[in-house]
Amino acid sequence: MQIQNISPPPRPPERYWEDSDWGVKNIQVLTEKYPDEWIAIFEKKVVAHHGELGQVLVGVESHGLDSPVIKRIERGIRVYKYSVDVSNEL
Amino acid sequence: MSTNIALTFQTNYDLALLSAGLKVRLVRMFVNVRFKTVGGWTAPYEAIVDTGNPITIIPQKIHQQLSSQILYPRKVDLLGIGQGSVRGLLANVIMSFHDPQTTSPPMQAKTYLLDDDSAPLIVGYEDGLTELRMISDYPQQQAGFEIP
Repeated sequence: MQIQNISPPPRPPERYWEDSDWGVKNIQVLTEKYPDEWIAIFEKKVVAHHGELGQVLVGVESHGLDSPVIKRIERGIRVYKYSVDVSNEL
Repeated sequence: MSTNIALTFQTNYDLALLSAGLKVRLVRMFVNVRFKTVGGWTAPYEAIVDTGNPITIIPQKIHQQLSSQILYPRKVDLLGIGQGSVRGLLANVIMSFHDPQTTSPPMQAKTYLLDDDSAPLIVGYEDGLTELRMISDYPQQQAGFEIP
């Protein structure tokens, strides 16, 4: 459902798209180096990587980087799905 | 007038099978998305577009920043094939898609907010892919959303 009374966000900077393309083009090498990790790409370099996304975001924040590409590197075939198993935990 | 958002194909190879001489492509389709926070919007994130996923799922460290409305107070198990489960809360969030030229209008969507970061950010059907027309043409390396 589209929301009419909220302005859309600003578009990411040009550098973001260049970094995104770089990540796609180099995915084979990135998979060899950072299997099953989250990575942050900034100016066509991996500036942070870790199994925990939070650690990568802390690294990005500590360097004051604006809009890096955050990417999960999947090794092998991953299939995600869900089943509705409602627990009593609140 | 509709809004068109370009998607990105990413093609990788299964390394274990490659070392055995078998070339098996691991293709993902991505969209870039931002989510509404209390004071603005998150940074952009790459999300997997997954037509096999009934609903959008958001890892914990991303949804912690969001302005969300919990819709159901109990957690639900989300099961991955061959892996353990993670848990999530059903909530409304507001998101917007990007490509290098275009930004989509903000959209409200029901999503699952995960308890951890073990799964990637995935855009699924409910309130997401149900609201648009999707084009996926891998041979021509062209994919996109057409949002009415």
